[in-house]
Amino acid sequence: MIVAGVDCGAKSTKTVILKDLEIIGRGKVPTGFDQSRAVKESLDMALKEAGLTRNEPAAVGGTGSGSEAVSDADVRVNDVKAMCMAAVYYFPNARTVIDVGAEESRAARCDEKGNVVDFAINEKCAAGAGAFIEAMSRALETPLEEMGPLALSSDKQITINAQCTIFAESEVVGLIHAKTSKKDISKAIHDAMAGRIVSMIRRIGVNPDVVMIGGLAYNPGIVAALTKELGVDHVRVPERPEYAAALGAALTAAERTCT
Amino acid sequence: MNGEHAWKPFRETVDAPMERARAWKEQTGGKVIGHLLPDVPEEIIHAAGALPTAVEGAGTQGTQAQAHIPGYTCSHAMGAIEQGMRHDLDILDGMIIPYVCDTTRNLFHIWNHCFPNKSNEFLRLPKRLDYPGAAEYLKAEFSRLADSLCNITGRPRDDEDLAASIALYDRSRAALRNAYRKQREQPAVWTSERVQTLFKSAAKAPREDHLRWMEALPWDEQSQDAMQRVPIYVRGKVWDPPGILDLFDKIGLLVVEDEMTTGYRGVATDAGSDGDPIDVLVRRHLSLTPYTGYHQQPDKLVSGFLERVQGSGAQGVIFLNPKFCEAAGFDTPDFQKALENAGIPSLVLESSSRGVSLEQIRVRVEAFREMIAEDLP
Repeated sequence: MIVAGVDCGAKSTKTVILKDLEIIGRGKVPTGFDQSRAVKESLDMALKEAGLTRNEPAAVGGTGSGSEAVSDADVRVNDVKAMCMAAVYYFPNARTVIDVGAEESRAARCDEKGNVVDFAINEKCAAGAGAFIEAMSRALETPLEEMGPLALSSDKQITINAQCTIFAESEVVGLIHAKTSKKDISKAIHDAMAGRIVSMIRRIGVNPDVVMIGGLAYNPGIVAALTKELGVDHVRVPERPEYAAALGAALTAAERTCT
Repeated sequence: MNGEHAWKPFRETVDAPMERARAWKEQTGGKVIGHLLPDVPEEIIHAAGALPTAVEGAGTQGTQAQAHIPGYTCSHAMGAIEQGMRHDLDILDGMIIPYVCDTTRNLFHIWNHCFPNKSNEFLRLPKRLDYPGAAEYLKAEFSRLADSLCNITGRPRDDEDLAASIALYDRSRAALRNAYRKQREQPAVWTSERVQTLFKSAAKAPREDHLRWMEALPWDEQSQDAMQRVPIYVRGKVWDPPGILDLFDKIGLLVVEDEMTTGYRGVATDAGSDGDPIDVLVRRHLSLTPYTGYHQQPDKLVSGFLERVQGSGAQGVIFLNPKFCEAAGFDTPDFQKALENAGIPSLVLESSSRGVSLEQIRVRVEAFREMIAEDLP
């Protein structure tokens, strides 16, 4: 059976095509202002990679903050459910899932079927989300993709106290004026963010294995900081983690269409 | 009157509550007395010949109140000051602010300072409901309020008037309970949003009119409900942010019981007619579900809550805790622990129309529904 999952997120829209539960196509475009266009383009891109036409998927699952824009969706899948389904698909022993998106971070405990057992979502501001690192990379005039490796090259412990992205940026500017090196500031930024995410995860309890999905999982600095702060041996990251929610939507669509 | 037309007077009242009060005032020449909701005995205001009108601050956005009250104040209190400062409440001749928490205590003094030309009353409700002296104390306080209101309206205090007002409000509560029951039986017709409109308008319109409008509702209307709804219990203070009940409806949650001042809690208990009318109101007050911030023996408070949840048939509980409400947050961990031990899932939402996005709440509530629904047969 062929199914599609579309994750219309705040920053980008991703699509995954599954054939008999194997990934055969992916598509990703910036969401922009026109969500419907982004959904169509990412779906077309994934179908093209899979060598399929629009009529071939038996079901479509939609998720993400713009899931209403997935007008063809047979199933709407909550973001938390989608992340749990994807984590268990990649790692059957996954029981704690972290998804750090552009504007929101989430943590969930799940069972072996990918059902949500408990969850928490950041509720104050973007200080525990991907937009935080983006803002800090601008302040440090360092490309986003270099922020993580830069952090890994430092072993200094510097605390950033501000709980708000804007105020934290002021604190970073203060560190720059104090001639603190970029690598030490980058590590401080990653440690601060990991601290916020882990305090959210601790509200629901940590059950190994821990899996991280979402685009920020590409950042080795945040993965290392989370691993240390959680006190676990490792935080697992799947291949192409930014597609995980779309995959979860596709898996849920497959499950609900079959039953 | 049938169909959508029957709901019109309720919606009009909710959309422009002070217009309804203004029309009543022009027609009768009577006094309009506002009150800040929790456990203010509207019957006493009514018996004094005035129109009781609930002031709901929650949901009010504005820029003026923060010059008078700290920013870390709940939206219910902040919104009331805001409405007053922008002259939305000019029609009120007086205002009753009940003492239910530290915020309301301070709010009264701020209110009195901001609006000295109104007849303002601070209703000192007992915080310890199971204290032996609570009933005697409350009787004296309700009597003081009755005398004060009669001074404002110029109408002599009369026990028969109060007994008649109590009977009217009991009839109204019964009708509202009936609507709440219909919500459980016919949720596609009696949506949460519609039923909440009935509750909100009851606290703002002349109660005689409201009861008459309710009698004209299409009580027998039925419709198939295609959605599989998950029954939930909600604990909180007022329905905030606006749109939260509509969200529950759309997501497929059915509120089978709640502890909101603007919800089921306010109509769950009748006063009756047995004895002195002030005594009747005191007994009713002491038998209400304890409001957040009232003190009770902790074990009794928790076990009582758990019994209510289990008795309601709810599959999960949502705590709709107002942002900056210390009293609501204080109780929640004990209640959540008891629910966890009983195998009942719960979700805490920080509710406020100030700084809390309904979209953020949607993701949480959807995930919660998903979590509960997976355990259902």
